[in-house]
Amino acid sequence: MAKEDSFHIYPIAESAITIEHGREISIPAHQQLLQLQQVFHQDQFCGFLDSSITYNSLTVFFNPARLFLEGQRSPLAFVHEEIQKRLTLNSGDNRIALPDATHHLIPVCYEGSMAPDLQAVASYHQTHPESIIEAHCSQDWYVFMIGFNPGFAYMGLLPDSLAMPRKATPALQVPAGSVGIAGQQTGIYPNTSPGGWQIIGRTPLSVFNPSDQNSCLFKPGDSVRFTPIDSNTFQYLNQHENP
Amino acid sequence: MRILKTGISTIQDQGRFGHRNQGIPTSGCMDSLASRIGNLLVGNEDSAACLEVSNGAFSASFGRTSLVALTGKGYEGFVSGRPVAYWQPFLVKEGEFLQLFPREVGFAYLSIHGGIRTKPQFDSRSTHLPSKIGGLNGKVLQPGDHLPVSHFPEQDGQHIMHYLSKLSGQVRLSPAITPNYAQQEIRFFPGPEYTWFTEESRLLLEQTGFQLGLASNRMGFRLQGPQLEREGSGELLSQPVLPGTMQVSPDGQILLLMADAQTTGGYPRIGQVAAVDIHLAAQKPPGSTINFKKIALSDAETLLFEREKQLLQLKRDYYLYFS
Repeated sequence: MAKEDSFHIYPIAESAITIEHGREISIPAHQQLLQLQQVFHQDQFCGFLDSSITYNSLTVFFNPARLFLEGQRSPLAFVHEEIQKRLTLNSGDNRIALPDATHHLIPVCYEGSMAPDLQAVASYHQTHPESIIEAHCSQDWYVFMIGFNPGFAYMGLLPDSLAMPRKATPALQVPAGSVGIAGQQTGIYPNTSPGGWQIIGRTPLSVFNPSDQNSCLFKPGDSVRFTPIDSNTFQYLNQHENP
Repeated sequence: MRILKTGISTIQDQGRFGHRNQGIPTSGCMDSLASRIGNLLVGNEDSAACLEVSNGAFSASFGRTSLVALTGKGYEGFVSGRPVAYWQPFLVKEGEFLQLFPREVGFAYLSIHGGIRTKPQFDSRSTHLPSKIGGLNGKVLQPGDHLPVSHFPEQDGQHIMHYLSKLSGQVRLSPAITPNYAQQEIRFFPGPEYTWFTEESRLLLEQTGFQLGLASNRMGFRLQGPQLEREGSGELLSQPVLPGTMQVSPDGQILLLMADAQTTGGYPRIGQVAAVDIHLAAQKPPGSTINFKKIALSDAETLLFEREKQLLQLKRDYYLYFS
C-alpha cells in the first residue's frame, strides 16, 4: 500500500487541483483514489463543484469566485489545505469503505462487419480470431475512468497477448456500441464518433443515454465481463436501432 | 421568443459541473465574460441561460416586451430597423423583431431578463452538440423554434425596464469593464508537463506568434506555429483537461481547448490560459495571431480576484442606479 506522502498535489488551473497517486496503473492505488473521491463528495468544502478520476489521479474542481466572496484571497491555497486535511483524516485505519461497485455482463457480437479489426488483432498476435475473442471474454476488466466522450469507459488491464497499439490513422466513423482495444485498454464507443481503437466487436447495449437519469452504465471501480453473442441475438437486443 | 433565422446558435449558460466523472464536458459560453455582463445588464443571475449566436445572420420575434442585452462581438444588431448598441440594455417590444447581421467572426450573446428556461440536463442548460445534451433537444437552434422565457419580471428587471421605457432612458457601460478583443497577448501559466519541453521550445512559445487554424470550433483551436519539441519521449497517462488547456499534439503543434473540450486527454499540457484571458482567446477569428505571455499561477489568481471584484462592484453600482 502506498503511503499518504506518495500523493502528489498540484494545481492545473485557478479552479482545479489534481491529486496524483503513483505513476503506474495499479488497481489498489486507484481504489484509494475512489475512497478519497467519496470523502470529497461526503464532506464538501466551500466552493466545491466537481471531481473526476483518471488512471492515477483525482482532480477536484471548484468555483474561485465563490471563495473570493467568502473572503479567500487564494482559493488554490484554501483548497490545497482542504485536500491535505482530508488526506490526513482518511489514512491508515480511518479509511472509509470503497464505494459500491457494479458488475456488468456485456454481450458482444464479434462477427463480420461489427468486428472490422478482429483479424488484424489476431494477425498482430499470430493467432486466430477465436482465441482473441476467448481471451477478451475470459476475465473481468476493471473500469478505471470515464473520459474522451460522455460515457466512454476505459477498462483494463489487458494482458500482452491481447494488447495492441491504436491505429496509425483513426477511423472517421466508429459506430455506437463498438468494442475496441488500445494498448492495454479496452472500451466501448457510446456514440458514433471518429476513433483510433482497434474494433473487435459491437455491443447492442446503449452505454450512455442522456435522457435517462442513470445515463452512464459504467462508473470507475465497476467490473465488466464480456460475453459473445451471434448477429441474430445482436439484432434482437440492439438498443441503438430501437431506442 | 420565436427564432426566424439562425446560423449556428445555441443555448448556453456558465457550464456544466458535477458530471465530469461520466466524461461530460463543461460546455457553456465560449466568451463567459460577455455573457456574464449581459446577464448583469438585464438583471439576471450569472447562471441564467442566454443565446450564443455565431456563423450567420440571426433574427427572432418577441411575443411580449422583453429586456434584452447584446454583448460579445461579430454582429450588428437592429430592433425593428433601429440599431442597438453592445453592452447596454434595451427593450424589444411585443411583436417587434430583433435582427443580427454578421460583420466579423465572433460570438455574440443575447441575454434576456429571466433567462431562457429550457429544461436543464445534467444541472445545466448549456448545449453540448457532440453528445446532444442540453439546450433545445441538444441541437443548434432552428427557424421556428420557440424559446421559453420568463413572463414575470423580477424587481431589478422591473426597475431597469421602467427606466428604459422613458424616452431618454439609456445606460452604457464604461469601456474599462468591457473586453478589449483587439488584444493579441494571451497570458498563460505553465502546465503540469511544461518541463517536458526543451528550453528552446519553451522560449519559442513566448517569442513567436501562433496562428489560429481554420478548423476551429467550440471544442478547441488548432494553432500553427514552430514545432514544439520534447526533451524525452515518455507517454502521458490520460489526465484531466479543461477549457484553456494548451495541449501539444505529437506533431509539435498546440491544441488550445475551449468550452466543449473533452474531459481527459493524453497529450502533454504545456500551459493553461489564465482564466481572465480565455474569453479573449475564444473570440479570435481563424487566421489571427496569438502571442502567449507567461505569468505565474499566483498572478493569474490575483488577476481573477481583481476581475471578480470589479464585476461585483459593477453589479452593486448598476442596480443601485435604477433603484
